[in-house]
Amino acid sequence: MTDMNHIQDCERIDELLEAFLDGELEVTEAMAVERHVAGCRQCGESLSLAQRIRDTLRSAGMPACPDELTPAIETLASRPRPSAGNWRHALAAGLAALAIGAAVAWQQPWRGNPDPSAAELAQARQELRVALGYIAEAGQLAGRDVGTVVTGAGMNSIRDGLRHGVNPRPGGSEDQDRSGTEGKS
Amino acid sequence: MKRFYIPLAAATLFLAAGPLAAQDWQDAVKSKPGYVDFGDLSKELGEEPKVEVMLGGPLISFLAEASREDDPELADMLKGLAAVRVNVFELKEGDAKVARDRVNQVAKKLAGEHWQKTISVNDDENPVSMFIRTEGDKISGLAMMVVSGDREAVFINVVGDVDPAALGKLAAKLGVSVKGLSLD
Repeated sequence: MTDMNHIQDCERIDELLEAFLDGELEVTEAMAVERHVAGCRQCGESLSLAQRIRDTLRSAGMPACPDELTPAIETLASRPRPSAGNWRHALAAGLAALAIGAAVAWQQPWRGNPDPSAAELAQARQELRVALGYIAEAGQLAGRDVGTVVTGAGMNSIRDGLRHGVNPRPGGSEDQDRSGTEGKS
Repeated sequence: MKRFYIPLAAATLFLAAGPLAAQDWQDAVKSKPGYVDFGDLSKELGEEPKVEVMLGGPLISFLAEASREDDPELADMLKGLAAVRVNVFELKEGDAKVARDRVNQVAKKLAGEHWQKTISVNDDENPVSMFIRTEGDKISGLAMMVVSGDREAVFINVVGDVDPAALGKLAAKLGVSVKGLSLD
């Protein structure tokens, strides 16, 4: 990539950063931003700065409640409540609300977090990389490449078990004792 | 006043539905056979984890689909997963023993259940334990516990249909360097 192309990319990324943080980009665009930012120190700093500004604004706290608001709420609250004769309306309203709630709940449980934004996906991707990083590190601490750790001799008995349709013996192990040898840091 | 009941109750339910749904998938993960309860180490150590990853349910599915074009291998691996959990605790003086005791305790519990210990490094300072759980002809969970000297304790649980070979390969390929990592 030439310097000119890189500068053009940086300008484009700079335009997209706000939308990226707002989660308004398409997934592919967000990934392009993420990729560029990962390899470009200047844009990475711009993103961090924008993020910090947002965090600061978010943590700035709520403005104080205006003095005139409290009496207004109290006046509203002191108005007569619905009489007992209105219980049918209340029941109907409750049932309607329950129906709406049930419809919402029916759609939600399998989704949990409907339509995550691009920023949430980018965050999840980063978290996954961190998780994979720790898995790799755990493998290194075991003195092996992680692929070997999870596919090594210990796995063979599992594979054999699975091949023969038998669950492996619980608690069977491939123990190593490295006390006093490698791995001490 | 009564006309406000419907929107008020609906809004309340709407607002409640999101967090409840998020809670739903976390509860659902807890009931899966590949889930491991590592206990509340933060209470014992008096400190929250330095790194806490809890990816699961819908987000994993979206992540799989979003990665399909760029990294089909990753997408395939993610497809069967219910959750990926990582808790990393930074250890202070005297914490390492507490963490090692917890590792031994959980390892003992898993060994007594339907978990297969695939590796156990009995290093005094850097014990590593890894367990795999199978259900029928599938691997349904993976648990790794590491105490890295007196620096940090790492607890990893991958819940769902895990392909260990793909996981190992992707960890080597995509995993970021976590040495000295600070997510603060």
